[in-house]
Amino acid sequence: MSVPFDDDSRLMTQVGRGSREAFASLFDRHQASVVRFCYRFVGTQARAEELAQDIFIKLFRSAKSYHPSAKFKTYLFRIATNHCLNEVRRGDYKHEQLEGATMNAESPSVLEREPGGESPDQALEGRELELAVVKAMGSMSERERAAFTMCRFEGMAYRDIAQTLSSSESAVKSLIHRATVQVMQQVEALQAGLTNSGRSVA
Amino acid sequence: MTPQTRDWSEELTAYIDGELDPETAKAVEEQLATDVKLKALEQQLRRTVSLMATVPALEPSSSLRRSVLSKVEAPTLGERVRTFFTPGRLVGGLALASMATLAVVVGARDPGPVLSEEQLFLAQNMEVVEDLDLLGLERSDDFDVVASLHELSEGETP
Repeated sequence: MSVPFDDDSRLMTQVGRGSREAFASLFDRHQASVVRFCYRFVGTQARAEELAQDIFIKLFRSAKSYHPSAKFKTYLFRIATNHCLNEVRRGDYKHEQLEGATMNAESPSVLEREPGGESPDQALEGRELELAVVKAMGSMSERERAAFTMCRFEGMAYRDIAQTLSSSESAVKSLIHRATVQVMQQVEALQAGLTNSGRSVA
Repeated sequence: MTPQTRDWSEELTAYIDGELDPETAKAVEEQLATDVKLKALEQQLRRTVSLMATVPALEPSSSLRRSVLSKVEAPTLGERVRTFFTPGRLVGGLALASMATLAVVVGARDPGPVLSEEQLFLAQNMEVVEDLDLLGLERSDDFDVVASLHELSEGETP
């Protein structure tokens, strides 16, 4: 398949020729996305960064055999998805996910605030929203979680997600729909709880 | 499947994401115009999708960059081998190895100087010969006498 030879693909080709500078540029461009993606699987920042490190090392080692047959981000997220799914299947992260959710609710350093600054109420809403997402993701299948994260937090198109997951666009459409409905239900439960406790989220 | 029996809710998320083909998107819009429940679900989903943009973003720590870049900047075993075996070192090493091989081969072929029987005898009886000199004796018959004396003196030594 012919794809546009974007900047990332060009950098990756340079990495294949041994350029550490090109690798550093790729890392700077994509590290936040990869860490956020991993975080959705393991629930703690420390573990997410360990996985991200493994993923970037794998990316570096695979550079020599890289051929730009798809968008670079699709290639990167295929490595990331395989690595995260293998890690999740190897160990039990359910406990860590809940632990991570609790930690995040109490630790503003983990969930950075927007540069513009938020009022305490808004920041709390952000963390509660994060809790709702984490809770919903806990009940998602691994593929739903991967597809949802790539779609909602990375803005990837269904077609690219399908390539990443080696799946059809139709299957990805179902995965994302089911995952979005689960998050919607958790958000509604959160809002109902806040309304019952006398707080407004409107 | 007719529009009436089809589960249009399955299409709503893709519709909101702009991922439906124009024909299906138009069909969804027609259903939304007539189905109140479907419209309510579409609004809930749309709100959820827009809320996801407000989920606080995780920022990687600065130590991650240092850690990853230091790992890829460390030369691999292959690179270390290639760096070590520069052409100069390779030629020098080959020359040394050739010389060592040659020395081993030549050494194996040349067993070294061969001693005559006389030289060997002298070497084995050096002490007796020294005693012959000491006593001022020159004849070969005296050798047996001095050798016997030597044996006797060794027997006396505790």
